[in-house]
Amino acid sequence: MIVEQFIAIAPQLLLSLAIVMQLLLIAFKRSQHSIAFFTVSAILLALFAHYPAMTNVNLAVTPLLYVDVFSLTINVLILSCSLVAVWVSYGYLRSAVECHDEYYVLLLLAVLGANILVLSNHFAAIFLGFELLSLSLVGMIGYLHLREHTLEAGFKYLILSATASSIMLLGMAFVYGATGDMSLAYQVPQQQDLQLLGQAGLVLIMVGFCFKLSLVPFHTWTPDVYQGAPMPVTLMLATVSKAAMFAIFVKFWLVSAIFNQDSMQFLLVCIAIASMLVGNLLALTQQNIKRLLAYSSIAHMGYLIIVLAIQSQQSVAWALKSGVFYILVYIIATLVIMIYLSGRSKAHAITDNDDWRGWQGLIWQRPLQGSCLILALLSLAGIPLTAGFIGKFYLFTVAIENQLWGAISALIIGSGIALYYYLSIIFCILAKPLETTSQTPIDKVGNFTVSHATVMGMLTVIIVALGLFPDILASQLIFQSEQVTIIFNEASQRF
Amino acid sequence: MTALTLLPFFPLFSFLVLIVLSKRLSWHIATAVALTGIGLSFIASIVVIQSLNVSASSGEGLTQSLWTWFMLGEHEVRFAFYVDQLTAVMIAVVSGVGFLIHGFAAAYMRDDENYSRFMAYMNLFICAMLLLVLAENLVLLYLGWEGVGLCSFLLIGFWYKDPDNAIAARKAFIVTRIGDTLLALGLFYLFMETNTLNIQEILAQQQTSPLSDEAAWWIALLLLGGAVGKSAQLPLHTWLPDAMAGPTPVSALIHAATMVTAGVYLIARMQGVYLLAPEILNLVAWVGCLTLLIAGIAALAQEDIKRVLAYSTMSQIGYMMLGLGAGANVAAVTHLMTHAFFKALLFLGAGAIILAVHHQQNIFKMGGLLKRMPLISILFLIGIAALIAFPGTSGFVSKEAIIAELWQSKTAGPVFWWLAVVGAFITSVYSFRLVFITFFGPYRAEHELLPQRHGLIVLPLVILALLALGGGYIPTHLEQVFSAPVASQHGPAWLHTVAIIAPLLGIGVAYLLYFPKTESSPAVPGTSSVYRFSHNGLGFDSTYNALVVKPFVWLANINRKDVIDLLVQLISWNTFTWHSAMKAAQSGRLRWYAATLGLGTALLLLGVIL
Repeated sequence: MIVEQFIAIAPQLLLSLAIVMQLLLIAFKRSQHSIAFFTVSAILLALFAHYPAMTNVNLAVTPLLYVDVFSLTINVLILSCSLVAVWVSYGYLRSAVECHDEYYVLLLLAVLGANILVLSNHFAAIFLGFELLSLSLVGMIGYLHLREHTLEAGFKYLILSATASSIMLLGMAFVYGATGDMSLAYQVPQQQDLQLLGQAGLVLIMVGFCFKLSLVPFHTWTPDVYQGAPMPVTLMLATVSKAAMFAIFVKFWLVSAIFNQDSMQFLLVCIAIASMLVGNLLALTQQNIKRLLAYSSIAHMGYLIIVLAIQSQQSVAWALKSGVFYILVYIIATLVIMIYLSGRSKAHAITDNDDWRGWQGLIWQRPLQGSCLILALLSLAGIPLTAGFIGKFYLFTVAIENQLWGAISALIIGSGIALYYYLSIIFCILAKPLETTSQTPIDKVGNFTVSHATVMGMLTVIIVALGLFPDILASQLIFQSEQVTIIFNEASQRF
Repeated sequence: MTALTLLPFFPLFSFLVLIVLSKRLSWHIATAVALTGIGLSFIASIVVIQSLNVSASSGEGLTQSLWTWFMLGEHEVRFAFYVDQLTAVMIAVVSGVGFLIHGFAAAYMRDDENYSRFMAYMNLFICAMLLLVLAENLVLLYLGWEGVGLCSFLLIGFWYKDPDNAIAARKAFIVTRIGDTLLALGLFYLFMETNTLNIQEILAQQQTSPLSDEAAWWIALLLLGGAVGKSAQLPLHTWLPDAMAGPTPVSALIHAATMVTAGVYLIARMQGVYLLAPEILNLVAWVGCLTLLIAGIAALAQEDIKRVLAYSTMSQIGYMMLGLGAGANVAAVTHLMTHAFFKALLFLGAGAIILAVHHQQNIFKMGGLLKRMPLISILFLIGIAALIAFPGTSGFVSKEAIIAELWQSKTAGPVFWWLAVVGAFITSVYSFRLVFITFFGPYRAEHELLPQRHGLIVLPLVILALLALGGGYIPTHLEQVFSAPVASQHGPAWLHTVAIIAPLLGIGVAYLLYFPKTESSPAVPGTSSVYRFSHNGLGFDSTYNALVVKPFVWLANINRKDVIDLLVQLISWNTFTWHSAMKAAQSGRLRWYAATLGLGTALLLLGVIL
């Protein structure tokens, strides 16, 4: 390996080093304060390490990893989300008795797994990142094992995720059997029966990704796990895990030139349409905000994978831009809500404070927090003047460019259904405050601090700013993944 | 020009202050704010008119562009004002008479709990009306047009707690809306044909490349539709009598002096288009003529003092329309101005009387007021004299000028002359019926008169009375805007004499019919069917009710369970049913989840391989 390659994967190397250091730190001194501080510094360092990495892109680091602008952008997003996750975890886990230092090791491992997943260019690397991410998450989901639902959620996630992983592994074996190649840019065999085997393999690999993106019909685990997991872990699941999975799905789809097969395109569009409708329908009367966000994430991921159904090389750059923009605004809006929930919940309570009916009249008691939540919800619903609208608009343009009329109809219908439950919450926030009862009012629970409110406010400002001037960000998101372009040129000859 | 720029924005500013601070303002401060807004507008109007007179020698108006409002394709729609002699008359009347009425209103509405809101709406109205007359293009004019409609609605229904007032406000809004829609259609057509909505550009185009006959015909007709709605002319006149439900200063300002003349202004302003469609000009004359007769007859049988004045307003605007139709533009606009003076005087006088007799509006429950409140009565009589065009008053100058041009006009003629003279006769009959019943004979009210409390009640009346007497001689230079009168030679010599005598004859007839002969005999309203028929406005209301309102309500009742609603319900039913079905699948059982995972994988595999 030469120096440039080291620089290119320096963030990941730093993270690995930090994990080892964390273990040493735990052995040296058990203090939640110091390990949280250390984790934050490690993630910040990894973020800064992206500056030199940006200078030399489109670089293969061993056959396993490939660094391009798209992967780096997603990795920056992942690291930023994990930064938020560490910070809210610190407030959430703070308690008098226990010291939750191993939690941070798991968290950093999950982030490392996500990063590797995004960079991978080889089935082996994909599997490695996939498992690293999943297994760490299993540990984190079941971490507060004394709580209601938590062990159950961890167990469900473990079993189902393991099943999905093994299905994916089988798919990789099929592809290897058909082509003798494990890299994403494998050569498709000429013989008919081997082609069939390769296709079956691709479908099985796709199942793995769909499971993690909780797309229909592999979505069933999502609400239970979202609800059972501690709030900061739900935040990780909804942001870090989703972003990484989306990125590798995109790479897999484009680099392996699957878009060129009509049957796969058809499957993808069917999955997208089903996810949009089922996700929104399931969320309709949900009163647990964590479950509701889980269901709505099914629908949002359904919207998102529309960008994969492209039919010509001209649409690649625009589709990537739209996809990244959409997942970014989705993550920001989700973060606003989840930061609020984390601030209002505590690790040593029996559940999180997650019934949105408790938000009644919030806007009158806490105007700033209430309006942040409303704007985030509006952004998720895709109402104009918020970033969510622009994101949906970009998805629309992609869908229209590729003439996906079915997906467009489902997007419109799904958004219509979604308005029902988003608006219900907004009305609840705007309603008259409840008469104070014997229960503690929601704004007295948890370790909600000024910094929570500040971060929520800043993210909300971004939502509005991107809704008004989307070009600040959109003009920066220019992806000319050379690898993808080359593959596109060759694609016609390969099938 | 700063004065022109700020002219309509003074009242807007005072509106904002009043509406925001609302009940926190005391009567004194609210009055000061409201009057300052209008007063500044009036001063600005004077300044603008002065500089217009200086620069008017060239015949060009003043244009003041504020900003580009929006782009219409490649055409810029500007937020811009244009002032010529016609506009000058309008802004002077709106801000001047408006100021006096505001002063009166301050005293009249003093005890109302929503005083600030009332003054705020009045100021907003002035702002909208000024925008309407100052507009350089028809889009801005339409903004003002809708704005005055809105304020009219708000003010008629100002005492909205009485459902009757709310109904009257709604009626006024809906009926004028029909006209507004026609106007909008006219504007669309005009834009389609001329590619601009700038008034001066449109008029200039008619000199070089005029509209086709058909286009001019339709556009003129549609604009007339808008005008009859706003100006309460046939067939959209039915809202005006009911609009008297509003406080009396509102009736004086909106439904006598300013808003209802917007239609007249529109037609005068678009004269260049109307000249291309003589048939429509003839129609304008007919509309005016019929309205003035019908309204006059209806006024003969009214018992409510404000309704008499409302019908009289309709009939006077009929004269203006008749004048426009006959090509007597200068006379028509002069009549607009003098009518604003004397009708505002009459309404405010009526307001003062109503206030004194404990909000009693029935003239048969008044009587003998001349002795009891002599000052108000004499001022009121001055207004009546101007209304019937008594020689020497302002009404005489303008109305006789209209009538004088009818005989020779190409688009009118002797028939119209005769009808107008009959109208003048009827005018003086109903006017003096009102005077004789209200001011003479025994006092018939149940309570003693309230003493006049405030100088603000009397002062505006005095100024308006002076204007009603001498207002006809204010130099307007309107002939610079309009082409020379059509009639070059005069008709027979007796025309003038007959026109002057007709109103005087009317006084005599009214004296014979209505003057209380003996002190004791009580005046009573008529009971015959003819009287009832004309009391109800010649049956227009019931006809419209039967033709439009009833079928509409009937249809609405049939469709109470909206067909479209069923569709909407179907959607929501579907959504919730599917939701329940999906929720059932979300059982929480791990083996079920694993099964769906396996099943899904199998399905996908089948999908690809088959």
